[in-house]
Amino acid sequence: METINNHMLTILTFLPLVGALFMVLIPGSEETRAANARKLALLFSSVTLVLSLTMLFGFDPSTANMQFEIKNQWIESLNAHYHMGVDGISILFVVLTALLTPICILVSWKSIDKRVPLYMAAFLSLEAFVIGVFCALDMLLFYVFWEAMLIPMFLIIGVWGGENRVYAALKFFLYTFLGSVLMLVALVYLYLQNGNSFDILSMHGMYLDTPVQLWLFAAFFIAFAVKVPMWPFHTWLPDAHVQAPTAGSVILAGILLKMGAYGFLRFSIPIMPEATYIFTPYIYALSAIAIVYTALVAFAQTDVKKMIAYSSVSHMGFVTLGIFAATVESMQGAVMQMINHGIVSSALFMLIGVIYDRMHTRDIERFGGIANRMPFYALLFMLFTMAAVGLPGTNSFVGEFLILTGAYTATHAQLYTVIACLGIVLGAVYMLSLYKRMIMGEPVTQEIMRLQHMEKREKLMFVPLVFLVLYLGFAPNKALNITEASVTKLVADYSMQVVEYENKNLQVAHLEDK
Amino acid sequence: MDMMNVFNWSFYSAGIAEMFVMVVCLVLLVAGAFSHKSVEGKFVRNLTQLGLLGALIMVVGHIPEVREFAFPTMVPDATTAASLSLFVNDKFTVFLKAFIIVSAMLSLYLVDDYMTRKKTRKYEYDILVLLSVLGAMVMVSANDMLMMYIGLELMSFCLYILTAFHRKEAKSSEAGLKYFILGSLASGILLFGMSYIYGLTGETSFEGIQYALAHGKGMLEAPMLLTFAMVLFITGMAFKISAAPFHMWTPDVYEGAPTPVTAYMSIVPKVAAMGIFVRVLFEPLMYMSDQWQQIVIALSILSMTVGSFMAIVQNSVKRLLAYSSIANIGFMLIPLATASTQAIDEAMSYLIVYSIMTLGVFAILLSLRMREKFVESIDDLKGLSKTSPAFAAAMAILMFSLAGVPPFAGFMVKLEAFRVGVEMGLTWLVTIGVILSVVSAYYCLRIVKVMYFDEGSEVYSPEVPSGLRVIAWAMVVLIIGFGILPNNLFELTEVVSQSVSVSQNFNG
Repeated sequence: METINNHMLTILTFLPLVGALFMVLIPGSEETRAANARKLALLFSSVTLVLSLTMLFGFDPSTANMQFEIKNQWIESLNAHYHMGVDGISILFVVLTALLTPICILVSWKSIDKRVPLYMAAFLSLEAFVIGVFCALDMLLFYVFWEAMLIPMFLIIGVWGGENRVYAALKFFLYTFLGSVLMLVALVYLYLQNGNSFDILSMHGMYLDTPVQLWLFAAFFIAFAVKVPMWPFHTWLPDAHVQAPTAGSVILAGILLKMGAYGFLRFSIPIMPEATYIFTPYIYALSAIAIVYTALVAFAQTDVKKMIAYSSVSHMGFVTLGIFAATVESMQGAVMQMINHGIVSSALFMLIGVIYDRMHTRDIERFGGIANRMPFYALLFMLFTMAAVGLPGTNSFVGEFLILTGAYTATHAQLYTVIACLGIVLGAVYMLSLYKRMIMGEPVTQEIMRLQHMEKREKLMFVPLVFLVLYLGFAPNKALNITEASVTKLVADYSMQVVEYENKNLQVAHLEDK
Repeated sequence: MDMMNVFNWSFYSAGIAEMFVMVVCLVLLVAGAFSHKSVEGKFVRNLTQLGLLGALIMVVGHIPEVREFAFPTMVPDATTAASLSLFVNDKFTVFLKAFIIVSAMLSLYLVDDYMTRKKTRKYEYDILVLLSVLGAMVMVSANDMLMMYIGLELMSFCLYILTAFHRKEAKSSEAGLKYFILGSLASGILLFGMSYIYGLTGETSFEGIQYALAHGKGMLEAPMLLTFAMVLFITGMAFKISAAPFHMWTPDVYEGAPTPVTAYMSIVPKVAAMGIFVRVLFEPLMYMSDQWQQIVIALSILSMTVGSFMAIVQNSVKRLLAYSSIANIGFMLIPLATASTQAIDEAMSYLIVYSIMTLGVFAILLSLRMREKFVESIDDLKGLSKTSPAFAAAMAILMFSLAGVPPFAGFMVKLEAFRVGVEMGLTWLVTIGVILSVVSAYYCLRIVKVMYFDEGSEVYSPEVPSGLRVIAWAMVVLIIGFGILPNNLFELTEVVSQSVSVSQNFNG
């Protein structure tokens, strides 16, 4: 156990990759390969999940320090290290990734029937790289995982996607690639400033001149804002979501969008606090626009997947608002909301996938009256719609409430918080109207009357998500406890830097007055 | 001149590998001509490989700790020994020569299947390759402008002939002629620049020029003329490494030449030309670095831009690779544009990894045949992931590496190039570079797209020579290996690059 704990993050990261390699080696005919690939992928991802849960239970929430840390020399000439570790902010994402991957494999159990081994290999390597992103404490390592993740996602969208998949895959890749390469320049600059070291933790304490911080912040911001995605960098998302297969959308909404927000928490705020402080009002504005504007756009959609995609942008607006308001409550709320959104939007995409597998359409007009035929489906849809709206008792309520109360107490954020509240109402509008149009009423076509009930596998894959929605809704303390120490430290460090910066400005102003 | 000294072996020992290759060439010419028709191909091919192996052993067998010289033009005495030799041998040349020989050996494996199928396999091919390897070796170990020119011409002439090797195909002969005319023009320009430099400094040897420039000779009398000479010199070199705006020949020649020749041409001459370019910039022209730095920056930006954008619109795989090579030369020039000797190793690591990727790509292209036709256009690769998944995966890895996506070696060397650029204060150039690397990612993705996303109807012939398969996968393994653990690569290039410009401190 001791050795497993010492190498926990290495195992978590590379076990799925080993699984991906196994996919290549499966012998046999097309069908046996597919069947074995499914089982093997489920096995590897389930073991990863179990290991990540043992890590979660072994996690000590009382400290903000990195835990399960591993540090080894990697590239000597660059002074890069294989340095991994988790704290209260990142551990939840690791577990969420480990949870969603087996679910994704279950989702694609039947809907993916061509080139299954390749698909499973792509998914497992995606899991590996994403866990690596959340664990990496060395900037180069982080960047390697961050970029490597594009390859499996590119293939998932492009090979198994919808009719316009090529465009969506290329757009996804190039958009995020452009964002990331600018980050690469900033990263190299930071490396040189940090005395030729890629160590993220040592960068947290370094001081940079304000103009330098502004440039670096801008470069990092583009990379992360594209990933989040923040308005106006979000245009790749609806395309990618609509064209991706169901599981691709699930992982995209559930995990990949969180990487950008995680980047803000890990890089932008601690390394460039002054620039963060200066940019904060603009980010508030972008977040508010994202919340309201994309909610309205979502309302206008006829494609149900596109609608959920836009609602993701809207929900991530809350997250960025919470992060940059930088109070303990709002930031904890933001982390919580990222997890919540990961659960809820994944579930919504899965629900859409369930009906898409039966009807092969995403057009809202073609649905209607599904409740008559699939009552259990309607119930699940109801639960997750309510969770998306933020009904008290569901997990999203906790996150949104914390963000809004926290942000309201931050300086200059009141107006934007009020606008964000408006966004919640708009969210309720489009989600409830979606529910009404899709689920309720009389069946609009004969096809609806012939719909098959949900099978066991389909029910099973929702169980953990339903549990989490209610559990985190009624007892959010467990999750909040985990994040508390790390978030408090992050906010305290940031506030101290901001106070220092303010004092410095006051002194300068004072001198100028004299 | 003392006759006793002329035959002193130590005057020649550093050039032993070149002399050996030359002898092998001559022997093979005779052997090929007199051997029986039925065995000549195999016989000469095996002897060529053997000769290259011997040369490799001679090159690597003696790794000089300090610089050695060969072929003195005058009887050396203690003080002037260095400046009067035609040949130099140090770790840098050993490295380049070893790399050239190994890539030549590997690219000879590429040719067999292709030319046998096209019924154009002739023993002269191997001898021409061997001769051009000799030229490349002479060129990289040159310590004198004239020696460099002789090596360059020897190499280039063999390449002109190799390009036109399929003399019955119009495209091939056209490419050969084009290459010959433009290449000769470039050589002429180079020679023109050399003559001016000689006229102004009175020296042809690298050390002599460096010494003269360090003491302000030429610079004081005719600064404009000297700069002009340097520009001509660099222009000639830029032709050879196909940096934009002197890249026009590249796409046509790449497309027209028989594919194995293209593979050979995109590695060996590039490595040789890049090697001597580095030496020329950092040794004789060291003291003009302020002037050439701007030229190299311009070449770098233009190459990256032209290569990346033009590659997008290509339909022929070989033309695409031609533009990709132009773009990659642009990336390779970023470290050199810093005009710092510390940046040489970054350019060299890039060169190695780029050559590995190119060799891998060509090995795959030469393995794919449908109905006895080799892959020409990008659309030929449609649906490759279904018909031959292994090759598609290898190709995809090489393409992602070419695009600079981690965890492959292409990323690591790009990172190093960018790092040294930022370190030396060229952040703006690096920023342009990274943005253009996104553009160049597009054409790499396009190939992946064609292979994985499109449906193909053609089925590729399953019988692939095992040599090609081995080479392709070996290159892929190297790309992944260097991508995850680039330590050895970086250490090697660092060691060899340190031997360039060791003699820069004249206190001039």
